[in-house]
Amino acid sequence: MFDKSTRVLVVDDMATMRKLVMKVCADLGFTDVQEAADGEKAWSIINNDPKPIGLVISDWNMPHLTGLDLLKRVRADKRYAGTPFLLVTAEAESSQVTDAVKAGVDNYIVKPFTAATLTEKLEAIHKKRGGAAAA
Amino acid sequence: MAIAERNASSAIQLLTVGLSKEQLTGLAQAFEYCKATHIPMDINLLGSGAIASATEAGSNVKPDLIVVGDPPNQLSLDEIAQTVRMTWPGVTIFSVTRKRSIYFRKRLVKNGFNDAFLYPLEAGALRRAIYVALNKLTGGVVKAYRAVRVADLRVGSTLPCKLAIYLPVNDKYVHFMNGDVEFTAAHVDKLKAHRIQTVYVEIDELASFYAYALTGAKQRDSAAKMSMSERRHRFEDAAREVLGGLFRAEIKLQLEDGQKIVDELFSIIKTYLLDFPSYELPQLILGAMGQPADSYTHPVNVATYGALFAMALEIGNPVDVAMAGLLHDLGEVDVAEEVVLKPVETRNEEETVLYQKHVQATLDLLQEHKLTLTGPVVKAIYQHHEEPEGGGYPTGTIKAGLSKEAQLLTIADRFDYATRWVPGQPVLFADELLDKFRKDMLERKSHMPADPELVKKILGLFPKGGT
Ligand SMILES: [Fe+2]
Ligand SMILES: [Fe+2]
Repeated sequence: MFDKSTRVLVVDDMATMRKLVMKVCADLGFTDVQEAADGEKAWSIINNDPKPIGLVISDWNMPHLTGLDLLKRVRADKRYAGTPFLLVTAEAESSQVTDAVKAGVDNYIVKPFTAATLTEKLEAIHKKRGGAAAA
Repeated sequence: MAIAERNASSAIQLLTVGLSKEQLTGLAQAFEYCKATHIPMDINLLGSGAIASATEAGSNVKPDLIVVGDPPNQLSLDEIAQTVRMTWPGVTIFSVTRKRSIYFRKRLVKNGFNDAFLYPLEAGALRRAIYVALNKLTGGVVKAYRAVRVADLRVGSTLPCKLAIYLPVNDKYVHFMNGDVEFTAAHVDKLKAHRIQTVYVEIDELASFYAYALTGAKQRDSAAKMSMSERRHRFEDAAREVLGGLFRAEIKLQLEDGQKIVDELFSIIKTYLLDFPSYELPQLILGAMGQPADSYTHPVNVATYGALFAMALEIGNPVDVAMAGLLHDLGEVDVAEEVVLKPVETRNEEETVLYQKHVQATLDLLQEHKLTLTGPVVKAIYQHHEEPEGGGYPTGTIKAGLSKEAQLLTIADRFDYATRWVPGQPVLFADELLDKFRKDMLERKSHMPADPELVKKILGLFPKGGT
């Protein structure tokens, strides 16, 4: 599993949902959870934060820069090629997930989800990345 | 409510979010079993889970049951579903909306609601769902009931379960008799004396009732597959599953989607309307009469009556009539409820015009869903308010062109309006309802719903003066 001190970035334009996802992260024991209200703000955090972001959990459907756009921007930058990226989608968008897979997403999770499902997804990502990249 | 019920249920915490006054009043009887917190719709409040700040309640609310109303304009019901579900993962959450335009039932369930209801059309189904939830939450202390047919009770048999009766005056169910007791002619007399035609079984005992009633059905016809009560319940539930999805179309519907729905409707008609022992035919009609109107009783009744008239008289295609019967009033969902609920005679001119639009609205909905219906079905739906003398709507001029299926559907439609029980009105027995309908049809000078000869043939199906 991810180290609990991993810096997590939760991105969602809806404040309530952002807080809920952050709470699930806290429930899982993560101690360093950051937040961003849209893709642009998320990008600037990823880009400028002195401590590297070790996990991005981003909503798909956001104004300005969508979750998919953010993913593409992150993957386009060599420095973040290995940053674990989890997309949060709604049921209606889950059919478009192939686009995200092509763009290099690590996994996706459908709202609403439980702490148990998030744990599963994070474990799958950690395993896939050889259990090392995400520290 | 009894002391035991009050004690067990006071522990049930109910949270309603953004319900209208009228919705709260309609559900008041069911909510009496709960410690209720009512808050306006506020997504931030919901997500924080810290509802105490919005109520007089000192501590935080830990709901066991949540009923969510309409969303404010800028928010989607999907997002509300996700938020509420993530805030209270294991809680039973229902949605009730007045807006057809956001009523994607299946999607709302995927997004986190246990079920979603369109108001006021599905108010009855919502009420039943709440009772079922309360029944589970209180470990059976709060009872949830389902109506069964007196025709399924056999004099001289031992009942498999308790029976209750419903008192509409105070919206209460009261004990009628215990299970493990012989059902006797004296019980029949007692029910008759109180003009009771429907008895109620607790939902956890329904399976045993079905088995008992099937034994009786098999005694009459060894090929019987289910009792009348079970058939009726399954038919209504199946109708909601399909019809409940037809109020709003998902954006990109293909012909295959429409075909799938038509196939489902066909299979419902085949299972519940065409495949039954012949002795049930009059019973199906008589048993459906005099019942209170619930969410899908009207389409189910009209399909039943229409198909049975067609089969009994060998006029028209029963499958087409049944299909049209299930779908004919879908468009009413676009007409304001005050107008729909008003008796025809009391609607003013403006309301009448609004109501009459439901025929075209129905056809629009069917097209929106890409339902591939046959010509006779579409024609029957379009003509179900036309009259052979030309006094009906929407055209008022079709006259001789009314199809057999349309006329059967129209009679079935009027028959259901005339023979259903209306709250506040005296309860009539099937033969009394039939007499009333017969009298009305035979004494009519104008506005005959169909060819008078056909009406007479249908009236001839019922034994005169007694059932
Ligand atoms: Fe109608
Ligand atoms: Fe009707």
